[in-house]
Order: sequence, then structure tokens, then C-alpha cells
Amino acid sequence: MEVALLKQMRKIGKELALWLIPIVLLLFFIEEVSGFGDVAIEQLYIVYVDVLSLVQAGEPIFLAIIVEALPFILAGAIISSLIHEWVSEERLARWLPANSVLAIFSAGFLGFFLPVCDCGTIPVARSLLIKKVPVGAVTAFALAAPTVNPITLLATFFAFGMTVKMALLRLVFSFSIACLIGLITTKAARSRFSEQALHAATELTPNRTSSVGLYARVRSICDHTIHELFEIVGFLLLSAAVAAGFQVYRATHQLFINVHSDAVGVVIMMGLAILFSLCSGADAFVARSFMSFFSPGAVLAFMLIGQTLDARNLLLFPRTFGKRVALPIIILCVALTFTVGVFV
Amino acid sequence: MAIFQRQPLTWIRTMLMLTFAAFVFKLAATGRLGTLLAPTIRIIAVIGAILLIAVAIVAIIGLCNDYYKARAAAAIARSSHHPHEQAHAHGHLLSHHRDEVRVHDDLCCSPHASMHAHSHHHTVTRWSKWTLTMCVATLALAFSWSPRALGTQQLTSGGAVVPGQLDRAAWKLPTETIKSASPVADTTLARVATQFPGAPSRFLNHSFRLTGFVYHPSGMPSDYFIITRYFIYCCAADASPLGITVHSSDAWHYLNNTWITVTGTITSAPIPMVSKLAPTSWYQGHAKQPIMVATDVQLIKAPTEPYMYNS
Repeated sequence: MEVALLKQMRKIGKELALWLIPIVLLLFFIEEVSGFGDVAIEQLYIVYVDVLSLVQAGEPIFLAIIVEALPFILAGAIISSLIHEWVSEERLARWLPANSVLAIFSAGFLGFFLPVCDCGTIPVARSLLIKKVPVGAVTAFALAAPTVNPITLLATFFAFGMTVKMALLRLVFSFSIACLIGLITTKAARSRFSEQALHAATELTPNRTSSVGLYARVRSICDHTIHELFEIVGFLLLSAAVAAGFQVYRATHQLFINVHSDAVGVVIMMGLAILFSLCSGADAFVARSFMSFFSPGAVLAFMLIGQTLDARNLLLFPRTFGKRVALPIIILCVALTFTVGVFV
Repeated sequence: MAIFQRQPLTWIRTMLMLTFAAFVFKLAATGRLGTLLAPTIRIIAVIGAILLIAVAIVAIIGLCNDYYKARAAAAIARSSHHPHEQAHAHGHLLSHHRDEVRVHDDLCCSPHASMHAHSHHHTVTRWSKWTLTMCVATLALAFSWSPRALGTQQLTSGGAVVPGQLDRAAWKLPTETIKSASPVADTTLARVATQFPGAPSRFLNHSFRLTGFVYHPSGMPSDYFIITRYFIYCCAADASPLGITVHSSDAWHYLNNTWITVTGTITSAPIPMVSKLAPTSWYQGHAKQPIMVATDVQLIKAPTEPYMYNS
């Protein structure tokens, strides 16, 4: 089987090389020869140059998102592997309150102790699902963790000029929405959804190994980490490309939107948040910069939905929770955030 | 090579991880991590790269270990003629399994391996192939085209024209030349953009020195440009340009993206439509719109820290 994989990799590699190498060489050549950007060619508005300069503008944004997000994804993958290897189901069951409602609330708080940004929560969520933590609690964790942590709250505090109001609103509503969705998921999960989620999670994760010896354990944690990492990294690359493209598009097209109604503003801000896919440290600052154009409710909605749903999670939730569970979660996120945005 | 044929997927993945870590180290070593990330995040990125290498090395050691053990066991099984020894070798094989849990596909070559459960089997899905392709493409891009600090590319390409530019009269500076006796103070565009609206008197008629790059919006009169610099919070993705209009008699001489240090006096004049441009959008709604009348413009080398951060 491995030999066939190698053959296919070679085929894909050849196709890619046929396209990529000449393009890269061409760009490299132009950059070297013309001292691109330093010469009067800037003044010539040829479409070709425009496209090239857009790509040049987008490249640092694309790479920055990846370089910044990767340590957090790696941290999430490592934590997830540690849970997978070292924390047994029985221990987790003991830690979580038996009452399912309380379990959801405590899972929401778990994010406070695990400050991985929203990229890192998915692997951890998957591990928890495999350890038979109830779907509602895992949902609450996955939705609340990116926001309910000291780093994000501090960032929000600083971004809005050292005022507590926005940070507090964000904390309260993020936690409430996460727990509410967790409760609703639990109700629904009593039927067949939890099996779906468990099945989805197990399918994507190799079996737990009965390792003995420190070396074998460390090794199996590393192998599991690599597996989790490469499950996610494809989505990271795609969403980084979308976000970079959108940032450049927005800058070049000077999107000044005249918003006639608050509700429309909320919808626009939510859409932007999903497209930007910002990390939890930065989204407060970006949100602040929109304050003069949109209502405070819209800005709050931007921050709420940006961490629960973004281009990446939209693709990852169905894979992690199973389509049947993920779809209601997504719909509820959007609906609840919209409600908060309009009425705050 | 036989050793790579055993688990090519894991080998490829570890190589990709090492290559990415090498990229981060390359940027850090050449001091170019600052074109992508804010200072705090840079440390996180380097730590992440070190972790990445550590995980990859453990995995590689494991892969080599598996390969040599399997080869040794197979050699023993093959070379042994005595059935008892063969059974012993096979038992040896089994005990290794017990110690080392993972029965990889590579041990399939042993005829009895199929009896053992595959506890660690990578299903190669379409998505994982696409992921690998994207990783390779991204790394190729990253290494072949060094990321440049954000400049005017995204500001000029949209063809943002300053309306009203044809009304040259509207661009008149105050007629009396402002000569300020105050000493020249170093400041940053971030400070000007945040503090000017609240306290314009602190800046007006004072002399300052600013560093930034040149931006000629299309339609701007040729003796004006906007000195710009990006402000970032975490990484280049949240960058926002901040700038101030500069009047200089040889403004046309400086091309877009040229890094300069301008010394001059700040004055205020109504400037039509400049608040519609991204770097000067902070002019919006404020009565006083600053212009820096340049007395001296120095070309400088592009700084290693091209962006401004929250101190």
C-alpha cells in the first residue's frame, strides 16, 4: 500500500512541479532583475503587475497567519495526545460532575486553563469525545475555550482602551452561548447524535496504544501529535489563503460600507469575522478598529462568532462532531450571536 | 531506499515539519521574522519550531527503530535453519511487539504478522494527499519568495483615486511659512495618529521627525505624498496603515515604498478627500487635518522592524 502511495505522491508532485516551478522561477527572476517595487514599473498600471503586487502583498499575510497559528495548533495536538495517552476515561469521568448540566458548565470553564487559540481546541475536543465525555460538554468546551481564557480577555481589555465593559460582555455572552448550545446538543444527543460524534472522532484517530515504558509512551504521543497536526494543517492553509486574499481585497477596494440598519451591520460584521479567521489575541483589536463604522452590538458579534466559527472551524466541526451534530451547532452559533448583536 | 518505503507517509510528514521549522529559523536568523510577526509572537513561533523539531525527531527515531528491528528479526527468521531457532526468533519478534505496541505495516513481511492486530495504521485519504500537496506548495513559496514587509502594493492596486484632486486650489498650504523654534522631537506615526485628534495643539507648529515609507496615492498633487507605516497587533494579518500627509518640494522624487525619515513642522489645512484613503482614514471627522511641511527628507535603509507595535 505504501508503494502505491509513493507512486501517487510522485504523480501529484510531477503535476505540481510542472505548474509551480516555472511560475516560481518567473516570479523570482522578475523580482531579481527588475528590483520590483523599486523602479518606475510601479507607475505602470498593467494588470499583470497589479496581480503580482497583490500576491506580493498577500504573501506576508498568508505566511504570518500560518507561522503564528502553527505553535498553537501544535500545542493543541500535543495536549490532545496527552489526554489520549495518559488520561483514562475513568479519571475524566471522575473529574466531570455527574449531572450533565453541571458538566457542561465546567467544560465551558475548562477553556480558562487551556489557553490554546481556537485552532488548538479541535484536537482536544476530539480526544475528549473519544474518552466518552458527553457531546454537550465537549461542544461547550470547543465553543467557549478560545474566548474564556485569560489571554483573550486581557487582549479585549487592552483593545478597548482598558475598559472592562467589552471584555465582560464578551466573557458573559461567549460562555452563555457555548453552554446553551451544549445543553441543546445534549438534549438532541440523547437520540443518536452522540454515536455519530463518537464514530466521527474515532474514525479519524488511531487507536489508543497500550504502551509500556517511557520511551514507547513518548513516541506514541509524538506519533499521535503528528497525526492530529496533519489532520488540521490543510484547513489552516486553506483558511489562511482565504483570509489573506480577503485582507488584500478589502485594502485595495477600500470597503467603506454605509450601514443603514444595525441588523445589517451585525450580519456584515459576522461575515467578516468568519472570513478573517483571526486568532483570539488579535480579533479584539481588529474589532475595535471597526467601532466607528458599526454598532457596539455588531462589534461584539464579530468577536463572538470569530472564535466559535471561522473558515477553518466550518470545515472542521462536521469532521469532528459528525454532520448531524455539527449542523445544528453552526446554525445555533449564527442565530444566537446574531440575536446578541442586535439586542445589545 | 528501503527504510523510506516502510512508512512513507510518516517520513514525508516529519520532513515537512523539519522543513517548516527550518523556514522559521531562517527568518529568525536573518532578522526577517519582524516582517511577519509582532515581538511576543516571534518568541512563540520560535518555541513552536523547536517543539516541532523535537516531535519530528522522536518520530524519526521511532521509524528507524522499527525498520532495524524488523530487518533484524526477518534476518534471524530467514537465516535460521533449526525449526526451534525459527520459533525462537519468531517469539523474539513477538516479544518486541509487546514491548513496542505499534505493529506497523512494515512488519507485514513476516508471514505471521497478519495475525497481529494493526494498532497503528494510517489510512491514506484523499484529504491527506491534498494536505501534503498544499504543504509542499506553501513551503516552496515560502522559501523561494522571501516575504517582504507590507508596503503600498495593497494600497495602490485598487486604484484608490483622491477625488477632487483636480481642484488644485484646494490643496493650498497656509501662506505664512511656519518656522518653529522648538527642537525637533522624534515621534512615530502611531503616536501622531492616536494623540493628534485629542490634543492637536501638542503637535501643531512643532517640529518632528518621522520614519515611514512613501505612498503616492494616484491623483495626489505632485508635491505631496503620505508617509505611511503599518501598525500590527499580532501578525501581518491584522496590520493597519497609518500615515500623515507630507508636503515637500521634491515629493515626486521619492517613489512608492521608499523608506525615509522626514523632518518638518506640522501644520493644519483642509485637505479634500484624504480621509478616504486608508493610511489617513483617522483624519475622518476631525476639524484639524495635519500636514507635515518637510524641511528635510533622508533616504534610509528599510528598517528591520518595519511595523509599529503597542509598547
